Amino acid sequence: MKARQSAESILLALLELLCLCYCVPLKEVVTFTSNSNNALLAVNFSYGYFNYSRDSTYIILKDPGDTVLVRELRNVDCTKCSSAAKLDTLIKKEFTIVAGYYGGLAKLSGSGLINFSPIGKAVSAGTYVGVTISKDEASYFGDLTTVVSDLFTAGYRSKEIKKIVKEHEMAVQEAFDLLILHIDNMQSKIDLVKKEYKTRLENWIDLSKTYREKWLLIDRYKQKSKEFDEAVLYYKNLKKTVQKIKDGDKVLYNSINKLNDESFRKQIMGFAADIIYLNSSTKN
Amino acid sequence: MTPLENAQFANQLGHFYQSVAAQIGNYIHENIGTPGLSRPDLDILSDDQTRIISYANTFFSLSDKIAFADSDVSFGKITAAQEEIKNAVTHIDNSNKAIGIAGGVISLAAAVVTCNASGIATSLGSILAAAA
Repeated sequence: MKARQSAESILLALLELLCLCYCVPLKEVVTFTSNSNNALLAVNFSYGYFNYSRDSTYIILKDPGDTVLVRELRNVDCTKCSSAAKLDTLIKKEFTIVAGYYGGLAKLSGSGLINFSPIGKAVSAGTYVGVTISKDEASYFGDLTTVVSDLFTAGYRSKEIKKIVKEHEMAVQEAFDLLILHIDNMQSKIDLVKKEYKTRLENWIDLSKTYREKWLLIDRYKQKSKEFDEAVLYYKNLKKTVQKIKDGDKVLYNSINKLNDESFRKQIMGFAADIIYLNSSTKN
Repeated sequence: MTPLENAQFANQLGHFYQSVAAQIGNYIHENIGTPGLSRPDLDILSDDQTRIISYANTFFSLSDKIAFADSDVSFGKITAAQEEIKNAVTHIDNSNKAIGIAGGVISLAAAVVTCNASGIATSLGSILAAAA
């Protein structure tokens, strides 16, 4: 009985030691990758290219009868509204793909969705770091099976993460550049519609003869401006979020061979916290 | 330039036109209803602003499509002149100058979109002359 207890103690001590070696550095990676995954999946184009196309059709076109302008501004004609909706879907899909990459990294880092059972069974019947677990003894360590599975998986995971991050870094960074570009283009287009709207309304206010007309135009301007401002703010915050994930990804890549470093762990946790904060501001 | 760099450059051009449109909008905002800006001049400037906004839109759309190819030479010239044009637009002090600059900027956009290198050079010259 005593021999079994001491064997348990030794095994637990070894498990703790292994935990320190493998689990701890991945904890920060899990936090960063999970937060990145969540932020990228939360993207919501409530005012996207479809809304932009619809608004710009009636805002930018000067008069229905102005054929010169109609011809020049054909690119915002609302016959393109349906393709604009497809563009929204396409960009959303790009976000989902990058989110999927981080979801994969999060799983590999130990967020718990990997199937442990084969390793669990092996643990119950095998020999690990010099400790042999017989079939009889296995039942006493039943509760530890998951921990052992985690430990050995962590070793495998750490190796896999390094390989994946190194292999795909360039593509990931390029994907981020494209996402940032798309966001910036959208944000800028909304800002342009707002500018046009403002000039048009100012013009009409100047031309209107009665106080009532002016008041109605100003009221309308305020309402629509609020909608544009909210959309611009959303994209502005989204751009910051994506930039933060991109920067964090670069730090992860640069530190991939020293995930134990205290400075890396602090830095990547800082990115993880910033991503949560920025992501929450896109929702407000 | 790589396709991504071309897309980023198109985005920068979009921003450049966006800033010109903003300057014209501010000019209109400050002078509308005053003797400094007559109704005909206001109409011209409003239309010019619409056209500039349209070109800015075009550049942002091109950026999304990553559609710029073999455009390094034309764009190199614009990059060099962008800052100078920005300063010129910032210092608009009368509506004639504003109209002259806006017209030049519109011609420049048309030349860029059609990849017309000599058109780019001509319109840059007219912008700088209008701003002088």
